[in-house]
Parts: sequence; structure tokens; C-alpha cells
Amino acid sequence: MTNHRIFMPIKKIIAGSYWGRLFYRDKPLFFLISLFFALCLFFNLIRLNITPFFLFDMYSVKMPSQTDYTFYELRYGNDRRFEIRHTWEQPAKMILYEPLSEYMTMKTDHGGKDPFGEYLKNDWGPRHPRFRSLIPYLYDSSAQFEAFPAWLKRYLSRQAGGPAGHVYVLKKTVGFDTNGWVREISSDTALAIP
Amino acid sequence: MNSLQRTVLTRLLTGYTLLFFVLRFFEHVTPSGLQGPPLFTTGLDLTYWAYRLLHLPQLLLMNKTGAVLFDLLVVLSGVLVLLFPLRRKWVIGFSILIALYAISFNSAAMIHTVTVDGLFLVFLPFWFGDMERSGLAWQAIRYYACYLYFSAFIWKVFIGNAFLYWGQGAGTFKLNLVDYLYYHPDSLLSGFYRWFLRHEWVLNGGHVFTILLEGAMGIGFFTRRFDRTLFWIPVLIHIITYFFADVFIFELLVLNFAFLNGAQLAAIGQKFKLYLPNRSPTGGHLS
Repeated sequence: MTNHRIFMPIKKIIAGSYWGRLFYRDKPLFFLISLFFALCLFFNLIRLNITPFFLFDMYSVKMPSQTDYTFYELRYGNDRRFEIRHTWEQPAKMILYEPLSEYMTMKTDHGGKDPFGEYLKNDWGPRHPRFRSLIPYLYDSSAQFEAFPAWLKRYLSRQAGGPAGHVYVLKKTVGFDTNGWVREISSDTALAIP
Repeated sequence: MNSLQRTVLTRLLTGYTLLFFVLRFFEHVTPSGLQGPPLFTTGLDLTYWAYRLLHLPQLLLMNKTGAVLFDLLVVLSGVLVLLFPLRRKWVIGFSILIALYAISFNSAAMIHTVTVDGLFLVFLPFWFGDMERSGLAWQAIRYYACYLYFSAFIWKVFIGNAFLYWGQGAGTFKLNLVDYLYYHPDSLLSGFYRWFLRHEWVLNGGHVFTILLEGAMGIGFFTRRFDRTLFWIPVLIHIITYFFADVFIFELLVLNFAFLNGAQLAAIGQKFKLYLPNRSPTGGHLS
């Protein structure tokens, strides 16, 4: 009797909630949506980002102020600096600078090989031998990396609205002074595309 | 959900998505403008593996005709959804194409951008023909929006510990805005930014405030009473991050439409003439 008194209001609250209504009115949909949220939680727990079970972990790790910062500068034509000024143009900025950064890292730190390909071949592949045949299709080949400078020039021409001509990439290292002004520490040519 | 609510919602979501797609077209970041990028990222995301194993980058990004056709199909299917919002085939077609675009963009940009994440899910409730089922599925999108921001809060507070690190606001600000301050030292905005750099506690305090805003979205799991406020919290978060972290995540706000109730949808529908004539009047909730 006591149990009945306790559980009836709880049952009523659950039945009146979204999840309760979903369960009583449409069980297949209830299981589908519950499975989706359960998978979201699962992939968060194992820290694996699989579309569409995303991890919203951006800026979650500590990012202390640095003594210096490095970024790439693109120059084209008669030494004109290419710039994407506004934040709302961020997709264009990403398409230009993220692959450029990957390319430069691959070139300077990984001897011209895609580090993800090396990971698949040497680490993931031996642990999952059944899927070995898929590996060559999952990373960027040397030929793809070699095609990058020509693409960069092509895409820069599109963004600049005309032939880019001679393109070169400067690696800038800068730092903040105590008043918040940014001072250049060094500027080196990282890549030249004739 | 009744047909009027469905009409208004479908048009709002599609219009919002198309607006950003057109903006991206003019920024040359849709397939037709990308000039056949050679590098793609996959990581351990199985969806991206499937995308790559099906040779979709070759078809949608590297092939000039395929790229132009793809852009045209996205716009055409979007316009068809705007014209015939209750025809499921156009909604399904548009949502598949826009999800493919999101994967294509992320692959070519070599980074999994958060801004397009909402596009994968937001149209799924409209795949169902049954109005009640569609309404129930749409309410799950509201829970997903709450989950998204609340999980970002959990990551920052309990997993990555960024919340407890006082210098995070200034650290993020410097990392993301260093190039702007370098190239535009004399702009008015740079002047403001330097003031913030001389008073880093404001940046760090603002960072803590933003994380608490993300945490506040957890309220939405328990009640709909504060939906009006919950609608504006992500808007505020993305405005703050726009100016202080140099990130543009406004496309993600497509999920915010899930915080609108039936009466608000009817009002929007009448104001912008988004509803179809001779439909039944709307009720309070969407199921």
C-alpha cells in the first residue's frame, strides 16, 4: 500500500514527461532516440568522435598564454599579402590555412608522409587485420601531398579573383608585449610556389 | 505537430541553412569553389571512412562537373523544400545533400568543425510522414540542443579542466586573435582588444561566465518553462565567442528553433507568411 502511494505519483510524473509520452505513444521511436543518446554518451566516454555522435570538447583542455605564436602568411603576385579579415569568413580561412598547416607539418616533421597513414599501417592495422585492405584508401598518398602546392595556387587565385602568380608562404613568429601590442620575432619563407 | 507548425518549421530550418550555404558559396567554400582540393581528413570517424571508401571526394569535390552539379542540387532541393515544405521527398533529399556538404567541407578543411554538426540531425524529424511521430522526434532535437551545450560544460569542468584554469580566457583570446592584432594594430577593435589584454581578468572572468552559460542549458532537461531564455543563451555564447575567440559558429544555432513553442511558430508563420493557407490552427505544444 505504501509502495503504491510512493510509486503512483512517480509513474504519473514519468508518464507526463516527454520521455514518458514518447514511450507510451511511440515505442519504436522511443528506442531509436534513446539509442541515439546512449551512443552519444558512449562515444563521449571512450572519447571517440564519430559522426553524428559528436564530442563537444573544443577548448576543454588548458590553453595557457604562450611567449610566442606562429602562423602562416600567404603572399602572391607582386608581393601582395592575402588576407581573410572577418570572422564570418572563417570557413574560407579554414580551407586555406588548415590544410596548409597540415601540409607543412607533414613536410617538415614527418618526412613527407601522412602521419595518419603511418598510424593506420603500423599501429591500427596490425590490431585490426581484417580491415587491412581498406587502409590505403583512408589516408592521403604522397601524390596527393605533391598536388597540394598547385591546388593552393589555384584556390588562392579563386579567392583573390585573378591569377595568383608567384605564391609564397611565410612562417611568422610573433609575441605580445605587456601592453597587448603584437611584435614580430621572425619571418621565414616556408614554401615558394612559382 | 500539425501541418502548419511543420510548414513553418521546415521553412525556417531550410531558409536558415540555405542562407549560410549561399554565404559559403560566395566565400568559395562550397564544392564548386574549392578547385578540387587534394588533401582530406578522415581520422577514426567511421562516417568519414565511408565517405572516402565510396569515393565521394572524387565525385563531389575533385570532379568539376560533379562539384557544380552538387551545389546546384543543394540549392534546388532547398528551394523545393521552401516551396513544398510538406513533401517529404524534398526534405529527405535536401537533408542528405546538406549532410554530405558538411562532411565534404570538414574533409577538405581537414578539421571537424562544430558549426555544421546541427545540420546532420535537425531535418531528421521531418523524414516521418506521421505528424505525431514527427512532433515527438522534433522535441528530441530540443533535448539534443540542451545536451550539446551541457556536454561542452561537462568537458570543460570535469574532463579537460579548462574551467578551473584561470588563464584560459586570455590564453584562448591570444591564440585566436594574434594574427588580427598583428595585421590591424590601429583598428578600433584592436584598441578594445588591447584594453582587454591589459585587464586579463575580464577575459578570464568572461570565459568562466561562458562556461556557466553552457551549464545553464542543462535546465532544459527538466522543464520547458525557461525555453525563452534557453533560446537566447546559445546566441549569447556564440556572440561572445565570435568577438573573443574569433570563431563563427552561428550555423549551429539552427538547433535553436527547437526552443520555439507552437504559439511562437504560429506568430512567426503569420508575420513572415511562412504558413500554407487553409490549414488548421496551431496548438501550444508540438506533439
